[in-house]
Amino acid sequence: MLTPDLLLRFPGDTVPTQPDLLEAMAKRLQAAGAVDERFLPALLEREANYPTGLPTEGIGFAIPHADAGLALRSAMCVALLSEPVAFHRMDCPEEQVSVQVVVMLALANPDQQAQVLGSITRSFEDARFWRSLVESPLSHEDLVSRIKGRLMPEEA
Amino acid sequence: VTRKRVLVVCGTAGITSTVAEKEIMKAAASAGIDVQTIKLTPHEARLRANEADLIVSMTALQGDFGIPLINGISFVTGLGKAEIIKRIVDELKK
Repeated sequence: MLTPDLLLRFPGDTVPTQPDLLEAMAKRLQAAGAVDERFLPALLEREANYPTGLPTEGIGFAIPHADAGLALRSAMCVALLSEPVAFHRMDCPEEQVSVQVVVMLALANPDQQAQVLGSITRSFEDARFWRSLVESPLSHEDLVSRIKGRLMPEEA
Repeated sequence: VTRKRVLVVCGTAGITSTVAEKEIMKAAASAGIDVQTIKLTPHEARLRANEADLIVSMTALQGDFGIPLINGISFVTGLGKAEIIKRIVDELKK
Protein backbone atom coordinates (compact mmCIF):
# COMPACT_ATOMS: atom_id res chain seq x y z
CA MET A 1 0.00 0.00 0.00
CA LEU A 2 2.97 2.31 0.61
CA THR A 3 6.23 1.82 -1.27
CA PRO A 4 9.31 4.12 -1.50
CA ASP A 5 8.10 5.52 -4.85
CA LEU A 6 4.95 6.72 -3.03
CA LEU A 7 6.83 8.91 -0.56
CA LEU A 8 7.64 12.48 -1.58
CA ARG A 9 9.86 14.81 0.42
CA PHE A 10 10.01 18.53 -0.09
CA PRO A 11 12.96 20.28 1.55
CA GLY A 12 12.55 23.90 2.60
CA ASP A 13 13.70 25.39 -0.68
CA THR A 14 11.23 23.45 -2.83
CA VAL A 15 7.82 24.31 -1.36
CA PRO A 16 5.22 23.42 -3.99
CA THR A 17 1.89 25.15 -4.49
CA GLN A 18 -1.09 23.08 -3.36
CA PRO A 19 -2.20 22.16 -6.93
CA ASP A 20 1.37 21.21 -7.93
CA LEU A 21 1.72 19.09 -4.81
CA LEU A 22 -1.58 17.27 -5.42
CA GLU A 23 -0.64 16.69 -9.06
CA ALA A 24 2.80 15.32 -8.17
CA MET A 25 1.25 12.93 -5.65
CA ALA A 26 -1.54 11.78 -7.97
CA LYS A 27 1.05 11.12 -10.70
CA ARG A 28 2.98 8.85 -8.36
CA LEU A 29 -0.18 6.89 -7.60
CA GLN A 30 -0.90 6.67 -11.32
CA ALA A 31 2.66 5.50 -12.09
CA ALA A 32 2.21 2.85 -9.40
CA GLY A 33 -0.94 1.60 -11.11
CA ALA A 34 -3.22 2.50 -8.19
CA VAL A 35 -5.27 5.04 -10.14
CA ASP A 36 -5.71 6.15 -13.74
CA GLU A 37 -5.96 9.57 -15.37
CA ARG A 38 -9.49 10.14 -14.00
CA PHE A 39 -8.17 10.37 -10.44
CA LEU A 40 -6.43 13.78 -10.46
CA PRO A 41 -9.35 15.85 -11.85
CA ALA A 42 -11.76 14.10 -9.45
CA LEU A 43 -9.42 14.72 -6.55
CA LEU A 44 -8.93 18.41 -7.41
CA GLU A 45 -12.67 18.88 -7.72
CA ARG A 46 -13.26 17.19 -4.42
CA GLU A 47 -10.57 19.23 -2.68
CA ALA A 48 -12.22 22.41 -4.01
CA ASN A 49 -15.70 21.40 -2.82
CA TYR A 50 -14.81 19.36 0.25
CA PRO A 51 -11.32 20.30 1.40
CA THR A 52 -9.30 17.88 3.51
CA GLY A 53 -7.07 19.98 5.79
CA LEU A 54 -7.36 18.78 9.38
CA PRO A 55 -7.43 21.02 12.46
CA THR A 56 -4.74 19.20 14.45
CA GLU A 57 -2.19 20.46 16.96
CA GLY A 58 1.59 20.45 16.64
CA ILE A 59 1.73 19.68 12.92
CA GLY A 60 -0.85 20.00 10.15
CA PHE A 61 -2.28 17.10 8.10
CA ALA A 62 -4.37 16.82 4.96
CA ILE A 63 -5.93 13.68 3.50
CA PRO A 64 -6.82 14.47 -0.12
CA HIS A 65 -8.82 11.74 -1.83
CA ALA A 66 -11.47 11.09 -4.46
CA ASP A 67 -14.43 8.74 -4.74
CA ALA A 68 -13.52 5.23 -3.72
CA GLY A 69 -14.64 3.92 -7.12
CA LEU A 70 -11.72 5.67 -8.80
CA ALA A 71 -9.00 3.56 -7.20
CA LEU A 72 -7.80 0.56 -9.22
CA ARG A 73 -6.12 -0.81 -6.12
CA SER A 74 -5.68 0.56 -2.62
CA ALA A 75 -2.58 2.66 -2.07
CA MET A 76 -1.45 5.82 -0.38
CA CYS A 77 1.04 8.50 -1.28
CA VAL A 78 2.67 10.45 1.55
CA ALA A 79 4.30 13.87 1.18
CA LEU A 80 6.49 15.37 3.92
CA LEU A 81 6.94 19.13 3.64
CA SER A 82 9.67 21.05 5.47
CA GLU A 83 7.69 24.24 4.90
CA PRO A 84 3.89 24.13 5.19
CA VAL A 85 1.37 24.32 2.35
CA ALA A 86 -2.06 25.82 3.13
CA PHE A 87 -5.15 23.60 2.89
CA HIS A 88 -8.72 24.58 3.66
CA ARG A 89 -10.25 22.88 6.68
CA MET A 90 -12.47 19.87 6.20
CA ASP A 91 -14.96 20.90 8.89
CA CYS A 92 -14.73 24.65 8.31
CA PRO A 93 -13.73 25.39 4.69
CA GLU A 94 -13.50 29.15 5.17
CA GLU A 95 -10.48 28.57 7.41
CA GLN A 96 -7.04 27.34 6.38
CA VAL A 97 -4.50 25.14 8.13
CA SER A 98 -0.74 24.90 7.58
CA VAL A 99 -0.03 21.38 6.41
CA GLN A 100 3.29 19.54 6.54
CA VAL A 101 2.09 15.95 6.16
CA VAL A 102 -0.16 15.03 3.24
CA VAL A 103 -1.57 11.51 3.00
CA MET A 104 -3.26 11.03 -0.36
CA LEU A 105 -5.58 8.06 -0.28
CA ALA A 106 -6.61 5.82 -3.15
CA LEU A 107 -8.89 3.25 -1.55
CA ALA A 108 -10.67 0.71 -3.70
CA ASN A 109 -12.93 -0.30 -0.82
CA PRO A 110 -12.83 1.87 2.32
CA ASP A 111 -14.67 -0.77 4.34
CA GLN A 112 -11.89 -3.28 3.66
CA GLN A 113 -9.31 -0.65 4.51
CA ALA A 114 -11.06 0.50 7.68
CA GLN A 115 -8.24 -0.78 9.88
CA VAL A 116 -5.55 1.10 7.95
CA LEU A 117 -7.77 4.18 7.84
CA GLY A 118 -8.19 3.96 11.59
CA SER A 119 -4.44 3.72 12.18
CA ILE A 120 -3.81 6.65 9.83
CA THR A 121 -6.23 8.90 11.68
CA ARG A 122 -5.02 7.66 15.08
CA SER A 123 -1.43 8.47 14.07
CA PHE A 124 -2.43 12.12 13.60
CA GLU A 125 -2.68 12.39 17.39
CA ASP A 126 1.07 11.75 17.52
CA ALA A 127 2.45 15.02 16.16
CA ARG A 128 5.88 14.13 17.48
CA PHE A 129 6.08 10.99 15.29
CA TRP A 130 5.23 12.85 12.09
CA ARG A 131 7.37 15.87 12.97
CA SER A 132 10.37 13.57 13.44
CA LEU A 133 9.77 12.18 9.94
CA VAL A 134 9.45 15.61 8.32
CA GLU A 135 12.77 16.63 9.86
CA SER A 136 14.44 13.25 9.41
CA PRO A 137 17.69 12.75 7.49
CA LEU A 138 16.83 9.04 7.09
CA SER A 139 16.77 7.43 3.65
CA HIS A 140 13.53 7.11 1.71
CA GLU A 141 13.39 3.37 2.39
CA ASP A 142 13.90 3.82 6.13
CA LEU A 143 11.21 6.48 6.31
CA VAL A 144 8.78 4.25 4.43
CA SER A 145 9.46 1.38 6.86
CA ARG A 146 8.87 3.68 9.82
CA ILE A 147 5.56 4.86 8.37
CA LYS A 148 4.50 1.34 7.46
CA GLY A 149 5.51 0.07 10.90
CA ARG A 150 3.19 2.66 12.37
CA LEU A 151 0.24 2.44 9.98
CA MET A 152 0.37 -1.13 8.69
CA PRO A 153 2.30 -3.21 11.23
CA GLU A 154 1.15 -6.43 9.55
CA GLU A 155 2.67 -5.38 6.20
CA ALA A 156 5.89 -3.88 7.52
CA VAL B 1 -35.83 -1.20 22.12
CA THR B 2 -35.99 1.21 19.21
CA ARG B 3 -33.16 1.27 16.75
CA LYS B 4 -31.52 4.67 16.34
CA ARG B 5 -30.36 5.80 12.94
CA VAL B 6 -27.28 7.93 12.46
CA LEU B 7 -26.36 9.57 9.17
CA VAL B 8 -22.57 9.69 8.86
CA VAL B 9 -21.69 12.39 6.35
CA CYS B 10 -18.52 13.23 4.45
CA GLY B 11 -17.71 14.69 1.06
CA THR B 12 -17.66 11.43 -0.85
CA ALA B 13 -19.39 9.18 1.68
CA GLY B 14 -16.50 6.77 1.81
CA ILE B 15 -13.25 7.55 3.50
CA THR B 16 -13.69 9.62 6.64
CA SER B 17 -17.24 8.40 7.18
CA THR B 18 -15.89 4.84 7.36
CA VAL B 19 -13.59 5.82 10.23
CA ALA B 20 -16.40 7.62 12.07
CA GLU B 21 -18.93 4.84 11.44
CA LYS B 22 -16.74 2.20 13.13
CA GLU B 23 -16.24 4.44 16.17
CA ILE B 24 -19.94 5.28 16.47
CA MET B 25 -20.93 1.62 16.25
CA LYS B 26 -18.36 0.67 18.88
CA ALA B 27 -19.47 3.44 21.25
CA ALA B 28 -23.14 2.60 20.79
CA ALA B 29 -22.50 -1.09 21.42
CA SER B 30 -20.64 -0.26 24.66
CA ALA B 31 -23.54 1.92 25.75
CA GLY B 32 -26.09 -0.78 24.89
CA ILE B 33 -27.70 1.31 22.15
CA ASP B 34 -29.04 -0.37 19.03
CA VAL B 35 -27.80 1.82 16.20
CA GLN B 36 -27.81 1.73 12.43
CA THR B 37 -25.34 3.96 10.58
CA ILE B 38 -25.78 5.16 7.02
CA LYS B 39 -22.86 6.74 5.13
CA LEU B 40 -23.95 9.64 2.94
CA THR B 41 -22.82 12.70 1.04
CA PRO B 42 -24.14 16.11 2.21
CA HIS B 43 -26.71 16.14 -0.61
CA GLU B 44 -28.01 12.66 0.26
CA ALA B 45 -28.12 13.60 3.94
CA ARG B 46 -30.49 16.46 3.17
CA LEU B 47 -32.84 14.10 1.38
CA ARG B 48 -32.81 11.48 4.12
CA ALA B 49 -32.58 13.49 7.36
CA ASN B 50 -36.25 12.74 8.06
CA GLU B 51 -35.40 9.03 8.37
CA ALA B 52 -32.77 9.52 11.06
CA ASP B 53 -32.21 10.58 14.68
CA LEU B 54 -28.81 12.20 14.38
CA ILE B 55 -26.26 13.46 11.85
CA VAL B 56 -22.52 13.17 12.46
CA SER B 57 -20.65 15.08 9.77
CA MET B 58 -16.96 15.36 9.00
CA THR B 59 -17.65 18.11 6.46
CA ALA B 60 -19.30 21.50 6.90
CA LEU B 61 -23.09 21.35 6.44
CA GLN B 62 -25.21 24.42 5.72
CA GLY B 63 -28.63 25.04 7.19
CA ASP B 64 -31.05 23.16 9.41
CA PHE B 65 -31.63 19.45 8.90
CA GLY B 66 -34.40 19.18 11.48
CA ILE B 67 -32.39 16.68 13.57
CA PRO B 68 -29.35 17.18 15.81
CA LEU B 69 -26.04 17.66 14.01
CA ILE B 70 -22.65 16.88 15.55
CA ASN B 71 -19.28 17.84 14.01
CA GLY B 72 -17.36 14.56 13.72
CA ILE B 73 -13.96 15.92 12.64
CA SER B 74 -12.57 14.56 15.94
CA PHE B 75 -12.90 11.06 14.50
CA VAL B 76 -10.37 12.04 11.84
CA THR B 77 -8.00 14.11 13.99
CA GLY B 78 -8.32 12.25 17.30
CA LEU B 79 -8.54 15.59 19.15
CA GLY B 80 -11.51 15.72 21.49
CA LYS B 81 -12.76 12.31 20.38
CA ALA B 82 -13.89 11.18 23.82
CA GLU B 83 -16.10 14.28 24.19
CA ILE B 84 -17.67 13.79 20.78
CA ILE B 85 -18.39 10.15 21.51
CA LYS B 86 -20.04 11.17 24.78
CA ARG B 87 -22.18 13.76 23.00
CA ILE B 88 -23.26 11.18 20.41
CA VAL B 89 -24.12 8.57 23.03
CA ASP B 90 -26.04 11.17 25.10
CA GLU B 91 -27.98 12.21 22.02
CA LEU B 92 -28.81 8.60 21.11
CA LYS B 93 -30.03 7.89 24.64
CA LYS B 94 -32.68 10.60 24.37
